[in-house]
Amino acid sequence: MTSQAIPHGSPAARPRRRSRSEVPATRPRVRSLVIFVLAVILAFFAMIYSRISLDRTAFELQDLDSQITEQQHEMDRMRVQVARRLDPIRITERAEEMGLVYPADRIPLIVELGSP
Amino acid sequence: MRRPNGRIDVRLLLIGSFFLLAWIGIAYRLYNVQGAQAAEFAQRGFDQRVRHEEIEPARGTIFDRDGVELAMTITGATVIANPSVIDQPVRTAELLAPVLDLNYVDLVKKFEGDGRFVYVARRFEPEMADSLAAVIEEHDLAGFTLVDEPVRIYPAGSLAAHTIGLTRTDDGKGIEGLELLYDDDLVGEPGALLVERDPSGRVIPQGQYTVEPAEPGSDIVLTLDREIQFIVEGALEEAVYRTGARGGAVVVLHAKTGEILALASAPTFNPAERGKLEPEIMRNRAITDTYEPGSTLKVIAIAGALEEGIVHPATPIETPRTIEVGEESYEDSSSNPPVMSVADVVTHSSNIGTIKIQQRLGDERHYSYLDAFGLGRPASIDFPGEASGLLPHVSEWCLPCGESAAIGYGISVTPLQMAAAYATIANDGEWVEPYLVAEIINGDGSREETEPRRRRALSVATAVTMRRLLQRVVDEGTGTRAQVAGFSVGGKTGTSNKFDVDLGRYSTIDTFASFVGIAPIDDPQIVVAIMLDSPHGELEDGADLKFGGASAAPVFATIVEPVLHQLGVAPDRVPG
Repeated sequence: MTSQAIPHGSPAARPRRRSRSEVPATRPRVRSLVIFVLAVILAFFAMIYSRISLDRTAFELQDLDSQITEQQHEMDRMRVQVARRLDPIRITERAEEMGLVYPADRIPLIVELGSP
Repeated sequence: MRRPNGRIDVRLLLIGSFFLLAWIGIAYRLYNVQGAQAAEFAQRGFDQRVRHEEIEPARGTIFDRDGVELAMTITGATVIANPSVIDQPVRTAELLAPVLDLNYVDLVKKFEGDGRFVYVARRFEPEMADSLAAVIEEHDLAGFTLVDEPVRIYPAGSLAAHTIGLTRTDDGKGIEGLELLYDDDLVGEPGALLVERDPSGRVIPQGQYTVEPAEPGSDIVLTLDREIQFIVEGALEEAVYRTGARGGAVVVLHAKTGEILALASAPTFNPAERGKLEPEIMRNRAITDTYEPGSTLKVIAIAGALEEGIVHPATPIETPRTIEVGEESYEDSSSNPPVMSVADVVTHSSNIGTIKIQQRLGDERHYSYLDAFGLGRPASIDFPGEASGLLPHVSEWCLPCGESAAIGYGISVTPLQMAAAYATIANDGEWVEPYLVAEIINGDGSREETEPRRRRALSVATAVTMRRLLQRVVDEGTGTRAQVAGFSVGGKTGTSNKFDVDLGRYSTIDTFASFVGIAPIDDPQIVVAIMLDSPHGELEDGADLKFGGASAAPVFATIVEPVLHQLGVAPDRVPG
């Protein structure tokens, strides 16, 4: 049997479309696989980023704690300064430096209120 | 590895074997580290990172009655040195000694020592730490580390130093005064911290972090008024200086509540100057020193006799110049009339008159009143080392013991006990336990207030009568130098010869001069007890300072006016 030439224009000459069922199975699997791998990689990076963020936040919290502690220490120092400024011994010395003196003999007067 | 001719290529075989062995080794090591010994390595790593740290609790603060800090803890610094890396110990000591206020020679010894760790200075204030850090940085001094440590600060310096006390420099424990007595309350409970740290000591984020908070120490609020304390300490210091006394003590009590407004002892000390502390100056004479009170104790026998109705203020009492009781001979120190009223016996402090009154009262009842007025036992529960004084039980009294006790001999008291006894008269006959600590504020916010003990020793009427008699002492009697312009005051002078232990007899030169007074007499607010140890000299008018009327009574006047002004008490007496 000899092969016959397929006339141009006949349905047999046109490129035959492949039906979906005939598309090779490797393409969808590759695409899905690529998408999956990309997703995993993205998730991996997202996890790393979140971990870095958490650690950074933790360092910031530590810094804040240190600042709070330092402010507490500063507040305590100020309390000491206030208490020292209220010390009668210090006040007396400052008063004497300023030339203040204790009053001389004090004469109490009793005033009758309401009397003419 | 076979050549085209089928023979084995030995070099390839060797190389392949080498790599195979290498990979086997790696695999084995991997299995070892990640499998077989995984737990062990993990634990070692964990142990390196995890630290169990104790959180030191904050020591409680001691406040005065107005809430001003008298003792507080802040974060200071401790400097540690590594002598092995200090190249020039002498130069380093020269630079640091003035900053740390330490002895230069001692510093050189530390820096030249062996070892890698030595404390240079402990627990000093942050300002000094800043100065020290600046010097270290400026001169690039190696081998020094500054670590944070709590430091105890006394902002008022020497004010109330005897009362507040001290803490130890190395561990912060209380060793004197209220710091010692209330150390368990002040220190708090340590906490615990379980934390992972990197080699630099920084906390590893997301690592183990468990905190059990420390419970801060309790705060203590005192009854002391720091301004009244200042007034009193100044007056006492001036009196000790003026009279050449060896020391002295003053107690100021709130007449009705028992609150101790001031407690002064001379000589005093500054807790910041540790190098100058000596046991002799650190004892609180107002509480730990006992003395025979002399005439100030006469009020108790007389009050007892009045209370029992045995005498009244106008009752005549025979007062010969001398009397003999058993083997003792008593005489009055000044020339008194042969008969005196009870009021005059008090006003002019007649020994004979008082003895006669005591004899009418009897030893048993006299003892009961001495006991009711708080003698022979500690007056307060607030202070370590408080003396109870000496009051022998009446069953041990000899023949003249009651008579001697009536005039203040054979019994020893503390200034605080005498103040509390006179506060009984000021408080209409009710003895109130004196106290220093108003309340304790615990770490959880709960408060414990002090409720002083009370007991009735005299009736109101007798107490009022006694106040009138005491007023006469100041207006007309032996206590005229205690008068205060604008205020009605009352009190009693006291002079007792000191017993010389070496000589085994009473000294004729050294005395305890005292005065205990109440102000104002009509509506008492304060009681002041003054005791001077061995005052000497004379006043301008020739009065001998060894007597209480000359040396101690003026101190009362110096103290009372500003104290009443501080308390907002208006004058109650027209001047002149």
